[in-house]
Amino acid sequence: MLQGLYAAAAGMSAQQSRMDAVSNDVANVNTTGYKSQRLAFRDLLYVRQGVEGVQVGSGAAAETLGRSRAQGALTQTGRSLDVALAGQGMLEVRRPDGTTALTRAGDLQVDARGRLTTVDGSFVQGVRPLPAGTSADSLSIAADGTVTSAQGTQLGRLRIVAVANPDGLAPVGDNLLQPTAASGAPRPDGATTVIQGHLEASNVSLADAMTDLVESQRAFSMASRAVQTQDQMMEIANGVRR
Amino acid sequence: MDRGLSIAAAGMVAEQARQDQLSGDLANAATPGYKRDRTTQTSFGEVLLSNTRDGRAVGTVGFGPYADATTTDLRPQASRTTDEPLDFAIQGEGFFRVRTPDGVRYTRNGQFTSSAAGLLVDRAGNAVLGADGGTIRVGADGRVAPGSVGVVELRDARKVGEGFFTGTPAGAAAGTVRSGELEGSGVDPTRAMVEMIASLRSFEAGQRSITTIDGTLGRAASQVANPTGNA
Repeated sequence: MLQGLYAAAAGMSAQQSRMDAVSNDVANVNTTGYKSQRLAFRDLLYVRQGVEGVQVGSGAAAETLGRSRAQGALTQTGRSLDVALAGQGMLEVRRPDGTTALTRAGDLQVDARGRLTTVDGSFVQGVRPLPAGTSADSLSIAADGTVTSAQGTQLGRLRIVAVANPDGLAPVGDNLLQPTAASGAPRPDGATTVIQGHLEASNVSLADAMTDLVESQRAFSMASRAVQTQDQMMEIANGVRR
Repeated sequence: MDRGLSIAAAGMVAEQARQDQLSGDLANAATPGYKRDRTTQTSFGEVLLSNTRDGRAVGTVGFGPYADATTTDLRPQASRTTDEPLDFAIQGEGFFRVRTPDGVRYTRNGQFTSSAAGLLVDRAGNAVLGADGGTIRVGADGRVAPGSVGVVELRDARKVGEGFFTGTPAGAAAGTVRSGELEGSGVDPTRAMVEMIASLRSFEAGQRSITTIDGTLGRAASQVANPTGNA
């Protein structure tokens, strides 16, 4: 009897996780380079009830499957230090503590010593510091990541890398991800192109997120109806003995 | 008289099994590739009643129903677009093949991802098998050609949980794979809710029968042979 009650409760908790994930996506609808979360659903083990061989499920579970890999829309900013990446690659940066991290947020800055950094102050790898007197606005960045000053001097090439399993990357905040054993080591990625003067918007689609939210809310309330019905049945069974 | 009690109780037990199954279905109303279960009810064998005085038959009486088997509705469901490169749906019949530690399992839930070694795997890290039976490598662009994912026909498909089925593979299936889509759940919420209410009421009717028979038995025990007729 309690099997159905717990199955329905498991379904409610799976939908709760989905609502949490979608809420986080909606909160990041304007975060540069943000990728929506992927949630996997599955049914749980089946048990045979009694000798009759009726198979009854134990409900549903949700678990994180990593991040979406769909490209976010490119928004034109006209700023020479904004770069968007088209493809699976990421910018390799060195954090102030010396560790390597990857990011898709390409709103770059130049620090007081002419070094290219991300918004949080991590150093972009592969490019030499700008010579004194070079204006950051006059830099041109080619599709392969080569950075050239207005005078025509090549300053290096943005290091674009990819990992075998992006879902294994560990988020360390500030839009930065760190390679782990599960993600595989970063390798140069030639398939990704750099687009100057653009930023990659969050790939969360509000319309999809809202549809997801409504669907998950309905699925939640249906599972909760099942809990109520199971409760009613127990009450009825209890009424057999007056 | 006591036969009526056990018939009503059998009905309640059968409805309970149906209700448990409906709960499982409703919990999976949003699980991709989920297939709905159905319980079939059968009645216990009937017996012929005969008149004890002259032995003439008076008719048959049943012993109530019992839930005897589960059937899974394997019909393909509509897909929805996710635009996620590693989400796959099968249009038409067939199953994906996944190599698990317990052997090859079959599924219609195409929420896949890539492993550290660059292979197409399911959420638990089990390798998804291709049309040729080998593993599938995810391309540098993060995509997999839908045609390279294997789809097989499965006989005697049986659910084992975790989204998996077992059965006897029977060659390539007619279904085609599409990427960026997921198959919806096979649960029809309206139908499940209606069945749930119907089952609840049958359960309640069973309980009423038991209490009524109980009342009749009580009267028989206390009023028969009581000259005043008062219990």
